[in-house]
Amino acid sequence: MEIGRERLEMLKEIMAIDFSLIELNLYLDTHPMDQRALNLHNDYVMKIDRLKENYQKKYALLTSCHISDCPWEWISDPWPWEIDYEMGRD
Amino acid sequence: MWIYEKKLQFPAWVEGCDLKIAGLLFAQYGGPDSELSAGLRYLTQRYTMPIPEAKAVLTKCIIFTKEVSMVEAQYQQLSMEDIDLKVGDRLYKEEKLYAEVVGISSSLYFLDKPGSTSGIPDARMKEHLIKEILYGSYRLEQVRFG
Repeated sequence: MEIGRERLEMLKEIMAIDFSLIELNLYLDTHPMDQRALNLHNDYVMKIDRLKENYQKKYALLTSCHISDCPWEWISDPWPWEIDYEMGRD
Repeated sequence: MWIYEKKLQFPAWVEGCDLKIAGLLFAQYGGPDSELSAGLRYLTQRYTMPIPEAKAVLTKCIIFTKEVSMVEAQYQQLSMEDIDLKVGDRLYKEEKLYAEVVGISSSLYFLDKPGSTSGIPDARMKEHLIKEILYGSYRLEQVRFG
């Protein structure tokens, strides 16, 4: 399912930063004194908060804990595995 | 606990038809050393882990989330019609049949997973196959019915 270039780019950005945050979290668990990694983590947290807020305002919910219109918005397509991340390119 | 977000950890892309790769993905999806079993193992190990760093590593959304995200990314790969499994396709190892596509090809659980107990005819066969899977080498090939 194609979701439009702009939305896809934003979603990919969110996915990329979250991916980095997961790896940073794992690293910081065993290197809690690494100030450089901590700064990076804090930067990404601020960035991801803004991005997710914008994405959810503009396109669709990422999590179910939001105020919803009727009908219940959470069940609307597409789900992550239904999205065409390559925009039809081979 | 965990919160589901409508996104993938990493987008995966599959093209072409390769039954061997499909077999390996199924094993990694739900087999004995799969992301699923690793995630559950880590979650259990943390209860007896004395070191805070390691407790964090084992617990944190991180590990389990990572494994489950892998599962989702793999599902994305497996559910692609591109793999083109046909009903009747079989996976062989050491001349022994260990999996066969018995239902609609694009659906996940119609194919037996290595190490699982489903679809294996008797106990001796099952023991043999599990040993083959654990200690033997993979040789998968594709057989189409007429």
